[in-house]
Amino acid sequence: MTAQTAAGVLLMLVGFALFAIGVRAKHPWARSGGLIVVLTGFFVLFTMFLWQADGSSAPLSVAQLLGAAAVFRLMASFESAPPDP
Amino acid sequence: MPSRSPYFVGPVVDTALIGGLSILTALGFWALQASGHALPGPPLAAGLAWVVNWPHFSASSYRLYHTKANIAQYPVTALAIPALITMAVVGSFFAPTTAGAALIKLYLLWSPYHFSGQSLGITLIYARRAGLVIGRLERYVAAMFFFAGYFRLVFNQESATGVEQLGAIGYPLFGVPPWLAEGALGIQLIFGLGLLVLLARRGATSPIIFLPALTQLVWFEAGARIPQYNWLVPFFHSLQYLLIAWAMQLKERRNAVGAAPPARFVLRESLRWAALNVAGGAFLFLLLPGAARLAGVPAVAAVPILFAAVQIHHFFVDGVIWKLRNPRVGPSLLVDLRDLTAPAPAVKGSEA
Repeated sequence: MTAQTAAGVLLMLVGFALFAIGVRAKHPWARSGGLIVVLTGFFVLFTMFLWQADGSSAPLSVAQLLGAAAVFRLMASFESAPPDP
Repeated sequence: MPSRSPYFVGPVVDTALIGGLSILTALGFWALQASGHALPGPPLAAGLAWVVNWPHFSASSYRLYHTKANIAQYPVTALAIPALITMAVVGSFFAPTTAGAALIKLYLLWSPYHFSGQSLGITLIYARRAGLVIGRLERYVAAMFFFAGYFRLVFNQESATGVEQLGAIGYPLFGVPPWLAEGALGIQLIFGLGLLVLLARRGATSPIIFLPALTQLVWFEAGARIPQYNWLVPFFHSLQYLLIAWAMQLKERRNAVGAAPPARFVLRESLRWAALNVAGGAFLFLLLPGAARLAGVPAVAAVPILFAAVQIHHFFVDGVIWKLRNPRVGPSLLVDLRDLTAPAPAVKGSEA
């Protein structure tokens, strides 16, 4: 595993942890901030593996595509309006 | 009090903008292609971008940024996301073949996902307008239908291999197994039938409720078979968007300014909003790339990278500001032209 890959994975793990804390504690900034970190980590990994996902490895190609779709889905829970006072 | 109309404007306008026009165009392009005629996809798309596509991006930015209250409602989306995207853009300018290619690939994968989300949202809006009670099951089945359509499209596109270009920036096709697209089609058919049954059991009779689903099918299936038509799909998506955003804008402005003369108010506010968004679109798609060129970034890299970045920003913003669960959004989307030209409500504040 290269340093960039490790950094991407670490960012995603930290982001998910922040996101989970934000959801449990109902803390919108932690939730959104966590998702930003997840997205950053994903972008690092997506960039790293982009040119390797050329069809020579079906699992890698499918993982790139499904990973992107999962991130899109996750971003739909990015930020909600605060409840009206 | 008159019963609520299922339409924002009326059956003809809503049907045309939500999908009728795009379906008729697909039929026309199909007939022209079959008879060997030249099709005007790219020049038509380029001409229409000025007046529809670009303003639709501007409309979502306008909706988010035009008041401090809106920015305060979604501070991370309004402030942190542009900063993040700016960093990705700068990185892409420095490394166009890696980060730039990734940004463009991400945009190309996200775009049809965003179209599917909008189709789902519009279906739910029209169902609500028609007085249907949409439960979790109906929502789940509808989502599965629309997003299976998304996977059908991208698995199909990405089953090819090789390198494609946006401007001067190449990006790879993933070469995923072709059977994945067939599987997604099967799932889409199952959930499509399920959605039909569930909506029929809920008493759905208005065709407009089913139109977004039919429209997305046409966009994705005809778009995959008629490349010239595919150029126009973003235009049709933008038309849908502008109808809803326009109605919402009028509703909010009407609440804010109160007693303006109804017909003149609708015309004046529509023109003001349209002019702002045409100018906003020109800023996003002409001035920003122009500024990047002035800063020394070659146009062949600046244009596609900024094009992708503006769209990704739009996907973020739309995913946040149009949540139907938001009490400031859902009820406002029940407005129709009759409400807006009826005697004015009392002034409620200065929200818009």
